[in-house]
Amino acid sequence: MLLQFSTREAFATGAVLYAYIPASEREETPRITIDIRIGDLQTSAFVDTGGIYLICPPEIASALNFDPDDALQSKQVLLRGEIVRGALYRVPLTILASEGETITIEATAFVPNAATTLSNFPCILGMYLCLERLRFAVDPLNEVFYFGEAA
Amino acid sequence: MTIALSPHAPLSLIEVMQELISNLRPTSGASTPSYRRAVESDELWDGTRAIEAAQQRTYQHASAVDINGSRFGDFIPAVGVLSAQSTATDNPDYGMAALALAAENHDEQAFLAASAAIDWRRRDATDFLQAIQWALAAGAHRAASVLALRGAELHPDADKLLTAARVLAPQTTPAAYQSADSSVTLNRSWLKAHRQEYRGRWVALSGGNLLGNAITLEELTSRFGVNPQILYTRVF
Repeated sequence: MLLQFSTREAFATGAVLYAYIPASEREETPRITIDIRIGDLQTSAFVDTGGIYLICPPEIASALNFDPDDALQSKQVLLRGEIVRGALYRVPLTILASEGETITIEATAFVPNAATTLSNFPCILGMYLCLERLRFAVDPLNEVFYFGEAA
Repeated sequence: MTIALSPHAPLSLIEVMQELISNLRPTSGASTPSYRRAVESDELWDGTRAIEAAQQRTYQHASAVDINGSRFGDFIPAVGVLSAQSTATDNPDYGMAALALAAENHDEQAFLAASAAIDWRRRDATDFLQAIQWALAAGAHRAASVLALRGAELHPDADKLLTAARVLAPQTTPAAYQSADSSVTLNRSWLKAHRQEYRGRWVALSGGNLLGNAITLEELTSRFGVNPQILYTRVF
């Protein structure tokens, strides 16, 4: 069942079971991981409401053939307390639903150069210019991620 | 108003400001190179170093001050203001130098203060693009967006600024919807059941069935292609 306001307006239009698992081989701390699509490529991403942008590992960007002419190339970007080099793109981001409706929004994706710690992670859904467009809620008891458009 | 600065003797606020501003004067005189050299070379430009020193002194004073009822931080001039008040050289761009310094120190607050002191209506597209890069380096991501949008508005013929504005603009396109996909739950169940078996490897799944696994994503996409119905994920 999807969430509603007291006015019966929908808070969430979609919901999906998430996996509560580590985000890399080097970690044991679990993170909320859901399935997304960037363009036509379906993959996994973990939710980081303290982060910014959609962080997209280089191998995912390579599979999607991002056009460098559409990018804002960055010499240095301060991300997660670390200076990294890479490029920023505007991409269609889809959050896949197992109940209700799957939603597609625009997001700003940062693709780090290969030799950074960020390239060892799956995609990361940050807040600024990514998740901020959505309402979302988490039910940790049943491991459900609810979402809908904020505007 | 009198404030006590340790280990200094008590100073008035005006004296503190004068001391800070006096420390901005670069040591190299009128031949000081422009802010661009400070960024492109390993050596800091003297003027930049003077601003940095003044900023550090400001923080030291602020940390040592003991006043009642007022926030000393409200009276500390921002680095952009300090740099604008310096008259030490003939034609350096103090505003951009302050942005460069903030970027080098990864100091978002200093970047915002320096940016606020610049009259962006008089800046060309190159300055906007450079400032956007420095904003990203300073961690001032929202400021980077604002600069990109403002720059694109003022310089609509600058292609790189238009790209920056498109990439960094707030999201305005309406969301698109599709019906839920039952394969999401099936794929999730498969991953839960086989996590240990395929840990560290990329897998390709469709409808809860394993299509293949490999060390790299490229191996899998070259076999199965980029298809919205196939989940490619690394197993952890």
